[in-house]
Amino acid sequence: MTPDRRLIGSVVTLAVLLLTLAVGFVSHAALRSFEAELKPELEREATIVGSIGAQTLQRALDLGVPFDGLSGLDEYLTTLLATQPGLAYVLLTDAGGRVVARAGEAQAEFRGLPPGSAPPDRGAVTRLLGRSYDAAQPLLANGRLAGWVHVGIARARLDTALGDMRWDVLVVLLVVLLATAEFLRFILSRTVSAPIAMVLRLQARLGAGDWTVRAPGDIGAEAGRVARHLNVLVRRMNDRWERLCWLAAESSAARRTTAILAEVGGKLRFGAATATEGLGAGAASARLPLFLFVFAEQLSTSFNPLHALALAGGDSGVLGAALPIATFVAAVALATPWGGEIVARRGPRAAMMWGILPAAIGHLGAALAPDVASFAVARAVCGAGYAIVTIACQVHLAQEAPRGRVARSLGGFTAAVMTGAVCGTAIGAVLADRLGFRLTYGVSMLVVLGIALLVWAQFAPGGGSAAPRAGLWRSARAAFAEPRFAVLVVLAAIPAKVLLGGFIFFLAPLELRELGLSQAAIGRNVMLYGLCMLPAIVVGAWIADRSGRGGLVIAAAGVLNGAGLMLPLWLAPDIALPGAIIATGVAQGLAAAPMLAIIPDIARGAVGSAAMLSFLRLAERFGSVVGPPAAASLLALGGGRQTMLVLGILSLATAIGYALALLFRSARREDPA
Amino acid sequence: MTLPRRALLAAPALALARPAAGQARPFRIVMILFRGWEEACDGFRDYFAARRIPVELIVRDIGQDLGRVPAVIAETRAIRPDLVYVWGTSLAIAVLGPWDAPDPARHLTDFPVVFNIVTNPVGNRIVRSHDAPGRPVTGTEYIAPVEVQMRAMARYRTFTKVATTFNPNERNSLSVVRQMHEFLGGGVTELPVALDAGGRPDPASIPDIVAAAKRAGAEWLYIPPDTFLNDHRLALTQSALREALPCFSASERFVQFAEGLAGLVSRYYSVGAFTAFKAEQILRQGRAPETIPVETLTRFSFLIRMETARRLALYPPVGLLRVAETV
Repeated sequence: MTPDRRLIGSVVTLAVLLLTLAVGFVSHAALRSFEAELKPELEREATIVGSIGAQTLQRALDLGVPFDGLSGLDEYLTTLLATQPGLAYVLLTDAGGRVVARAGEAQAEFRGLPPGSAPPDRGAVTRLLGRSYDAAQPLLANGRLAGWVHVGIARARLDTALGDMRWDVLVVLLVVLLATAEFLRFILSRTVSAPIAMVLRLQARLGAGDWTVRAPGDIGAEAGRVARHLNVLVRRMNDRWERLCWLAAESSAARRTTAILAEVGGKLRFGAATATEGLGAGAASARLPLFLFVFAEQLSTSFNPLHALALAGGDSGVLGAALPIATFVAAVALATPWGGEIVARRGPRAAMMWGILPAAIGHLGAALAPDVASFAVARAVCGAGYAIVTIACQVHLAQEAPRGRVARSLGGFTAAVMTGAVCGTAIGAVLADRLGFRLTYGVSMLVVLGIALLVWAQFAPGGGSAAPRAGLWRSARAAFAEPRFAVLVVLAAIPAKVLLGGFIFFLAPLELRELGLSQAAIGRNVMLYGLCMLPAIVVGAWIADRSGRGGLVIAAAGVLNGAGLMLPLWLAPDIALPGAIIATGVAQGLAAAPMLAIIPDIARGAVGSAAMLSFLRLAERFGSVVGPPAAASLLALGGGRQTMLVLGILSLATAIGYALALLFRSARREDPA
Repeated sequence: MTLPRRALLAAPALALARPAAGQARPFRIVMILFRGWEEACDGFRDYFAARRIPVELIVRDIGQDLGRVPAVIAETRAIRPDLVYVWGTSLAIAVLGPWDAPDPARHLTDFPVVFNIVTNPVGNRIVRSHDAPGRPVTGTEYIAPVEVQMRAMARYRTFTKVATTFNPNERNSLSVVRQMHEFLGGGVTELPVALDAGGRPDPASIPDIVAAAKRAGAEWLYIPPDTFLNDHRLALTQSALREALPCFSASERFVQFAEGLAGLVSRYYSVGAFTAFKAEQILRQGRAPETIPVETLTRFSFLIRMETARRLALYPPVGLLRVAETV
């Protein structure tokens, strides 16, 4: 670990630790006060319902109906119970606490108030009875206590509300931590790592004798002082040199000294600033815009199919609902090569600006779309922007990465994408719950416009080249002619993305809604995917590196994914669905790094690993395009459970096929030996 | 005769009224009544007072003697009123005749008419339909639909058998009993009041009728809107009380001013005011009566007499007490 990475690591860890403690404390306090506020609220509710109920009964008694003569009680109490959601029971006891009539689920341990209990002057007698808040209203006949009306509110309601709150707090905490880490990494990279790296580079050039170079003067803070100090030093050195040259020319031994100085001047270069050592954006600098961009895009992940379904007109438009997801992914796939072109020609900064424009327009279009067709078009425009921005960030990371650390840098790309996805999905669901779907798209647009400002201010222009690129078609043919690549694409990469698009992005939100979950809860569940994927990426890379058997990891991941999707065979849907999401996240995380790591092994000969990588991405996009409509068709044919089973079988079959292909190949390799 | 006193009572209210602009004299309304001035007439009069519409009410009561109708009609023609108010089903039929074939000699056809406390005006051919009366006559109904009444009765106490008694000479009662049959089928025991040699209903037969209802296993005695029974409501409801048979009635007086247990009723006073509202449309707004629909109040009162409930030990279900009015 380099010093700057260690610095970033420790600062981020410290910040996250402090933040966790602070947010944890505040959340705990908030939850406590929430409980403290909610409890009297519930008691008040029970008292109000009780007093309304008691009024009529009291009127009957006042009209001369004896307590024993009260009739139609069950029907009346049932009506009362239905007036307010969340009431556990309403029941009537006589003065001795014996239950006369009841509605709802009173618990076995319910005991009426003991005989001789004094009626309160006003209001009700409230108490916590088992798992319910109980409010008892007295009934009087001829001035004497005749009975009690009890209204119970289950504590479960409070617990559910608190549980929801806890989840929301946890989600917000997680998002804050991840986002803080991203921002800190960006800021530290700009203010510490990049200036230090610049100073080191400058030092190296000075050491090599080039004293014409200068540090950029526009760096702020401590690094700026160091840079300015360095520039002063360089200028003084140049001045001294000038003076030396002048003194030499003026001296009596001018010829000899000039000759010596000319010899020194030949080895060292002095003079006015001819070049400025660039600050360099640093590899990490593209992570923040990428994180924010993916965040904005993923805000709508948890409700895209729901919004499409609503626009398509109810359950009849299931296939129509898959259309916007399909057009989005198709646009991403089609625009990826084009995005590559733009990046190559104009450089990452310009390409990012080019990509942000359609993304913003797309989000605005999605917010305003009156029907599913225009929504699909808007999502396609978003997709095109997404493709250009992601490829631009990828190229930027690769360009800025120090030699020998390209793979790790690209790992940072995946991490930023996943972090953005996790945060975006979770926050998007919370926003959609409060603002509605359309306004959430509007928020996405605002975030994207913010990124434009960030990129405009922080990224150096340029980086493009007019160099012609190799023929796309020729290199594609060459790539797919390599059997290991073809097998990887067909049996691992494409099925994984079919599952991702079909299950995580399409089926899971719909099925979770079928279970009656709130939008925020759906978002939390879908978020599990990214949450499990993040550590799994690291674990997968570690296993593949240690064992050198990346192929086996990929196959095992496929089997795990398949088994996860078949969970509904054994478990109830409310457990099976999150289980399948977790399994998919873990499996896809495990396979992510080995898939990339295998490419350099395969890419020998005509096709470069970069080209192969882009074809792998293209194939994955294809899988993502096919996934949602495939899942929608299966859903229309058989229902959610069956769709999951079919997708699971597909994953199992392709994973086993991939493992067999690996075995076959290693057997063939061993044969000649 | 109470009529001058009634007119005097109306006068102070009218004196307070600020005459509407352009109204040179009070509107002249002849009120032809069947059995004297009661709450519906109060409601009719008070509505004008409250709206400060000057009216001159000329009240004529036939004292339940339909033979006096021709004289009243002749007098009405002589008065030449702006509007005629007719109270009760039998009287409306006698004064107005069938909507499609009135006899101008016998029936009142020259003036706009509003009717009040009338049962089934379409079935009784007073008007063509509720929405389009088909003649310069409009008015109000006061009885809740029979089906609604039966459901209300069942809400108090479920039943399989119900007995009903009525004056066979009153068409409004016959009409209600027919509708009961249509809704309940075989569960209805019909017990018409016996007629004497002159064809008039005999009040002496009432206790026997109630006893017969009890013997038939009836769980309720239903009282239709019937003028004869109204006149003998105390005898009827007290007989029922002796037989421990609860009475349910279609009009308020059997509960309010007798011993009936319950009823789903329009308050006479409110129906009278509602009728006056229709009269105002004719008098003040110049609307043709044939364009004003015949309507009933949309809200009814569930009346319960608690003393009767106590004596029968038949208390209303608690849920009903939330909406019921008690007397």
